[in-house]
Amino acid sequence: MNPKDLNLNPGDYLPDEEINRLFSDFLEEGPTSTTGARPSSTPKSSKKRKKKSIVWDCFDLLMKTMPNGHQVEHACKITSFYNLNYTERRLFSKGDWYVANVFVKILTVFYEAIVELFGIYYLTYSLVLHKLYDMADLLRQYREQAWARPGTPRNMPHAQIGYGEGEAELIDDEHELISGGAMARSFLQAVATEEVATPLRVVQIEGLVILKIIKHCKEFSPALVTGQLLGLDVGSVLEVTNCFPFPIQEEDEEIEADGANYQLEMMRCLREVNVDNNTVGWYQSTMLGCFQTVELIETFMNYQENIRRCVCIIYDPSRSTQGALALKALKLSDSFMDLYRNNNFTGEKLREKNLSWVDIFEEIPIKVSNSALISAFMTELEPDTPVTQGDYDRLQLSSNPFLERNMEFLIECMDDLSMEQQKFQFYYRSQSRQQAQQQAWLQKRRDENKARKASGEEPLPEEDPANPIFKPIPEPPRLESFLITNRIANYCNQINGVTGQSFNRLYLTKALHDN
Amino acid sequence: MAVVSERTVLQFGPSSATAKVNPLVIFNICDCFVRRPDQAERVIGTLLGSVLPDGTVDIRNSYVVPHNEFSDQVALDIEYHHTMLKSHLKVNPQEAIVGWFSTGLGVTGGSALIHEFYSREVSNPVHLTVDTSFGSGEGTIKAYVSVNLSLGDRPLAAQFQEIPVDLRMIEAERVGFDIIKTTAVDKLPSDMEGMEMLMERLESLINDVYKYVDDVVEGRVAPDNCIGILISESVASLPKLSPPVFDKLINDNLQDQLLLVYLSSITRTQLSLAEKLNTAAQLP
Repeated sequence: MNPKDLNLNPGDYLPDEEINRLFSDFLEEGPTSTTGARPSSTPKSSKKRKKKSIVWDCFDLLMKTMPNGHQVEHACKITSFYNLNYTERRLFSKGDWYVANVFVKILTVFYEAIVELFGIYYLTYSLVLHKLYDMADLLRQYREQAWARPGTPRNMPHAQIGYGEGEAELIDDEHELISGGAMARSFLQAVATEEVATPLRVVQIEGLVILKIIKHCKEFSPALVTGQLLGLDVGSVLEVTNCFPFPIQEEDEEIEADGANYQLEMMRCLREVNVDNNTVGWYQSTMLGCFQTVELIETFMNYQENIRRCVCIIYDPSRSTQGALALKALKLSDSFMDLYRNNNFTGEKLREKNLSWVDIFEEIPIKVSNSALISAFMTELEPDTPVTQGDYDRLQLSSNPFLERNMEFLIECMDDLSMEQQKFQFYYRSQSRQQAQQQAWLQKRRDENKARKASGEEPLPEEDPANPIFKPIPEPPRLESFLITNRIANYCNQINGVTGQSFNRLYLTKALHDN
Repeated sequence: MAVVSERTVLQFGPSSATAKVNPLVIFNICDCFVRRPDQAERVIGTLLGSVLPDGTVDIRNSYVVPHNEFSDQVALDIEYHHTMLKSHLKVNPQEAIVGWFSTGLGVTGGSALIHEFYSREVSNPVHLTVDTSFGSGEGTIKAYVSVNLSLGDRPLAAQFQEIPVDLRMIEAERVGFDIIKTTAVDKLPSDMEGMEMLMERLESLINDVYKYVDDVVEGRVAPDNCIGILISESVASLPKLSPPVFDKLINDNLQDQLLLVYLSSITRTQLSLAEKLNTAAQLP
């Protein structure tokens, strides 16, 4: 198809039928058809698409921001936003926006078709701005590659395309990008290479979120509660800017569906009032820090499937009576996730990866941020007092109940651990017994073979897979014992911390008395 | 003039005692204000909480409700308000609507309309205003209840009557103002760091008291009886124990703690040993 046929003027948009035509070309000619994004294809490929739903979600938002005729509405604002925030890279030009508009128009068709066909409407990833920026970056790369190619008829530097006369050429580019196989491949390659994630270093939490978490966890203590964290993923920092609580779960299917509805509804509502609509993890309360469970790992893996970076914030209301702010941000380590995903949690693999129980969870340092407005209010409302409630709590002399409970849990964990150890001992014992049996059998077979050789008969094979003694004994799972070890270590740390504090207090009392 | 009777006097309704405000509510309002839509001058929303038996309104939670304001008209997204309320009730059924908030200083014209709407949701709602513009040089937080002014049987107008606001800062104190007050904190204080800070503060307090007492004794400062009473009270609050009993108490406690530390260290050593054995254990 010749793009010149389209007769576009600046400010015009592709007519719908043209879009559809381009769209089908794109599917049939380019190697991109492997992504299986054809709306009218058989439901067989729907699974594939479900995984891709992340990609479509942002378009939902994108389209919502364009009420008037698919024009990216706040283009100027977004450009200036990026000028401010991404100074090290090249900025948007008007041409980029034009291309972005065309892209969006095409992808709208995709998205609508998919929503229509499969009803995927779940919003997980909404970093529209970041996506748009990535898009612009890719286009720039693509243009640079285009110059580098010898014999390219274009001599006009596209980086300086204005909104006016460069239009036709831009469309030219656009079309070639879509229909030309080689170019589409380079585009795809660029997409693939772009997905290198920087490691997560800091979790930045708003004071509002801390207060919300504390309120929720405390009100329902000692019941354990959870909630969802919303925020932004910016480079190596994960910003948690809002959160909302989940209702207490009950074991009922109907209520479970209700819970999912609640979550969607809440996110929709919060988005309407401009709260960051991007799940970055969840929070949960805990009692004395026994949070390292299989469920936590499973939940984490679930989240991780859908969002690139996720974090779990743990709050311990029972420790706040000690005056401590027991807030922790955790994530699973990458090496552990690899193992867990492939289900190779055996001793051999663990040795190979050199993974020990310390390496399952990674604690991420927490930073707290507040808006200037809140800071001003707090300074206004609360004059500097020398002693606060937290200080009183810290000076509480009686740490014994807390320690007692800690010890109780510790003893329980010890019991569990010894059970796990017994399982292992049993496993090793039966394994060595089996080996002895195998040896004996082999010996017998060899003797037999010798005898057969002497009498001129064919020797029997030295392996007999049908024999039950060759069946490998399944290794007991190690995950549980790892988790228990983690818990024990946690209790020990807590005991150490609390006793350290009470030493201080005791000496303080003593000094007071002596005076 | 014969018709003048006692009933034609302007009547005031009863006013509720005070409004207790959880700091979370202030935080939330500020956050909403920062995230308000481009054109909006102010944000309004619903306050959740409960009315305590003594008439105090306990405001524990809040959420913002989108609205549009034209010259003298206010359009509130009632549907949004109801979905949000339903969601909140699912989490915590104890928190019902107690009123509404708006940013800005004092009551404006549109307020009466919104207040009327909330009056239909709950009887005698509280109106909380938070001055986010710091127009008067300080962040004023005020609470109002509406009082119907009636002349005879005819309702004349609604009057917003200010009620005292009690900011309950205990929750915020627990978190630590050092964290909440500033715009950025790099690290949460750990147990020991918190203790250290506390000790420093305590020491400076005691030094202050010492200095004051010395100054009084040497006649540099006029003695204040109130402070004197407080000091003697705090000294007297130390329990009187005979030295052997006290020593025993302290030592017992110390021994217990030491034992625990010992135990936990030994457990940790054991764990690292066990881990080594576990992963290293291989069949011959």
